[in-house]
Amino acid sequence: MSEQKGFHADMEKCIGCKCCEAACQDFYRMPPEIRWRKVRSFEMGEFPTALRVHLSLACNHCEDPACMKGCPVEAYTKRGKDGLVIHDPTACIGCQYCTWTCPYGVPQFDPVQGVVSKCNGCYQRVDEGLMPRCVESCLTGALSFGNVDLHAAEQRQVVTEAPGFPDPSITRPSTRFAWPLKGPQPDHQVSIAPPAADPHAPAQKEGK
Amino acid sequence: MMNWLHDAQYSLVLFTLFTQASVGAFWVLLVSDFLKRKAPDAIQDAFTRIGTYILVPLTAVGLIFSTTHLGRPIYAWRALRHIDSSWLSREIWGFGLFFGLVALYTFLWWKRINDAELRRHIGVVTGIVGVLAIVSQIMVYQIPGRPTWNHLSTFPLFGASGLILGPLAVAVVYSIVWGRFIDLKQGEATVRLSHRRLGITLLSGAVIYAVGLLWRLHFLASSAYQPSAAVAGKAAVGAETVKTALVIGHQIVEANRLMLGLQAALGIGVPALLAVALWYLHKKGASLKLCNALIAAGLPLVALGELAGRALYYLTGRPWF
Repeated sequence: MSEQKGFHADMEKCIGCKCCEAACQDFYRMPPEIRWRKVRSFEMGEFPTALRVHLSLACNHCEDPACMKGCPVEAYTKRGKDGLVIHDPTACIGCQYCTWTCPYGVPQFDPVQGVVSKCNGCYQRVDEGLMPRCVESCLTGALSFGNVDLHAAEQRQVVTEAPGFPDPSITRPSTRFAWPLKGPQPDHQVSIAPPAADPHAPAQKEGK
Repeated sequence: MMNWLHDAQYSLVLFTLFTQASVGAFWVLLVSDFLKRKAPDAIQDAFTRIGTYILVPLTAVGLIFSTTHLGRPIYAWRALRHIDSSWLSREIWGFGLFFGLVALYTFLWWKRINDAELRRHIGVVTGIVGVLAIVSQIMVYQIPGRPTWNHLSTFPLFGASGLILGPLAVAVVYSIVWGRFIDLKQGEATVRLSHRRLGITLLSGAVIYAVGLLWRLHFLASSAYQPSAAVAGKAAVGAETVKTALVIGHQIVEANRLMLGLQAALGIGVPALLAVALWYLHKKGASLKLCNALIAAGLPLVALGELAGRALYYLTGRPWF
């Protein structure tokens, strides 16, 4: 089993309240223009099934992090024990190349500090057995965090693709998603894992 | 205005153009050096020797601009650390080495002129390092994270910039020194020959640049006229999301047609016309002063076209998610 940890975002449960954004920003005392977690809203589907979808995203702690590979100063490391990708601002020279190489727009440049910063998965809290602040603050339980392989057993749906989310084959992000119950389903794009506890769940669909 | 300059990555525009011009200029001088290997020509050597004066300043200015976009330029040297996987690190290694070698090559021309074989050996190494540095520079933009840059057309575009700007800069130096430091009559044949070679180089550069630009424009437009989620303004999924980036890139080009026009007219049209004009004027035996005046007028125009084109290149690399 992979030790890779990652977030799971349930788009059915997310109401776009942005508590996760605020909790993260407050916890790390970040300036207003820097948001390690961002809630994006998308329109998807066609009338009469069109709907507004909210997607809460932070760093995807990718298996193959483009930020780490491209960084000229080795400011990024990927932890062996849980796969979290950590950025060291003291090593950063503010070249901003990681803001280009990351397809998900995760690293953000702070012109005042002259360095880039990004979500570190609250690794200090995780080391203490706590949940990341965003997960802890989520009102609806839309956000969760844990071993990527265990999401399938705990979540309604576990897919690697989401609306607007760049092709996961680029960096193999660890974030997983559950799509809204109504509206388009990702069955043509990705495999859907049924809840393990449901004996009447449909058979797993294969990817394209 | 400052926001626009920031979006257009003005410091990277200048860094890439200056360094590409320096590699292009170096190759012109190296080829001139080699062409006279078996039949030494003191006049040609005098031109080449003076021409090397521009190499160190061109590369140095480029390298200075490579640091001006950094949040903490004082630590710029740290960019050398990650050569094993970062193209950006390799690029800085490449141009750092190129700068040192170019300084050595210039030193050999000025202080050890009789050491021609050593100079040429160093020159070959320098030329190869320069080309590898430009390849690294191009690879910096071959990133799936920015689909509008992640295209092979960057190779001809960046390569042609060096092929046009470098030789043109050397030709302007030749036109300045001819008559001042080199006798008018003695230098005439060398200048005429250099103009013919310049014409061929400029024409080749203009063709390569035009191919690169058309290829890139076709790539950016490839998703704009097809039914897709991106065109409908809706969320795409998976590999389809790349189309969103391309549609954004295409819209940026459409909104900056003036810059595209400057790029095409001045970056491609002027070098091509200059090549034809030089060929025609030399065929008719026109005065060299007229040819030199055309070259001197051509350099700022071409530079303006290149600046507009490179700024547009960076503008299209906007975040897409």
